[in-house]
Amino acid sequence: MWNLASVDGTISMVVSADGSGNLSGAMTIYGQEYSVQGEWAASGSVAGRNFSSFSLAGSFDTAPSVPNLLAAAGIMTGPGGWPISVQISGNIAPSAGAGMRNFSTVLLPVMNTNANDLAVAYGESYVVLEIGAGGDGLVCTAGWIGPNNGGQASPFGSSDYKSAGTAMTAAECADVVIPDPVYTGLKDIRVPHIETAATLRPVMIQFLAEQDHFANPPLMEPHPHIAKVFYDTAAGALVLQPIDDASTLAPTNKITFNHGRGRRHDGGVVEFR
Amino acid sequence: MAHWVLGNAADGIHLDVNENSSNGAVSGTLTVDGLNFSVSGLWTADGSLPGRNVSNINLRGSAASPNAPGAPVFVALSGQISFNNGNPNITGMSVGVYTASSNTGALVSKLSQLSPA
Repeated sequence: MWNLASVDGTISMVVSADGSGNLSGAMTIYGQEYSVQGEWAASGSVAGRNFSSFSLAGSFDTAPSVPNLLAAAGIMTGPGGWPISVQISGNIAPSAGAGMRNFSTVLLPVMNTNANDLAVAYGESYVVLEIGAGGDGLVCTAGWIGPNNGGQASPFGSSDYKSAGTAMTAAECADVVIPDPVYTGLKDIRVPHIETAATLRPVMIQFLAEQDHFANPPLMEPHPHIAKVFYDTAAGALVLQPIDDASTLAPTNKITFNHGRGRRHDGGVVEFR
Repeated sequence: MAHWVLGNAADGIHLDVNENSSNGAVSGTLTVDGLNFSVSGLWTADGSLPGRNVSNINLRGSAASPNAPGAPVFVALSGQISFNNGNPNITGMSVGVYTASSNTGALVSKLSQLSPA
């Protein structure tokens, strides 16, 4: 499912992208919900397909059988089921009168609240970090590491990460959030080192706050290292799922929270060790 | 059934489609920067129903990338149509045309005024 929105919230899409290349769903543009159909091609699926691209068309009736006709094309980055961003350009042609309107924007993931998707994400992850707000900004309030299996950490295997994993000590937690050595005022969230044979190790990072503390999308910029974005009502947290590559341990780019109407604040950089 | 042929050479756009006035279906070829896209879509006619004051259209389609036959380039067009004395005497089309290449990653946008060609 492609479920993304522009940072200002004026353009969004909820579109199913199937393995046969069909797109089907809805786009909401300036408050009007268009039923859309289209096609996409997945990067890497066939020789020469280096990017995931698509086009779609749709309509919205401004009065019975008086449609605005939409057409748009774009480039999607990220996995087919979990886009990291969508660059899209399009045009709306009304039937009721003059006033065509074109747009070009970047769409970013909105908070997924699907319980099954969330359970899968916890189950495949190796670490859960709970980040709260302290007097000096972000602070680690708790953490869990996946079950120890012969000296190596395993994925939690369950959405019940607190029972399946091992709670981090206060000392371990205190070492998670530190000032960024380069950018004054910015915090680094350092994922604890874990011993595991896995190359790709997903981590769930919870930012404790009411859901309406964040706009949709909750982040201001695309993050190639962050595959999935959730709101977990049980935890009361925005949850990001960065995935490290053990061969590079590359940090995420700077995370900026989107609070809507142009308001934002720094959410730090996630580093892996 | 009418045959519409319009273009804007300076913008690299040429449209050659057949329309079916009974159901609004449109299909044919949209050429953008020399690449021929097979397209299909819909138009609605000014005055055909209450509230329809301007004729409009959208089309969508694809073409094989010139450099990689298995990598499609997708296209989308939407616009408004002007007529002189009704269809098929089309006099122009104001369009937004967009292409997205799975080979190069290029997303191209064009706003253009098409004239009969």
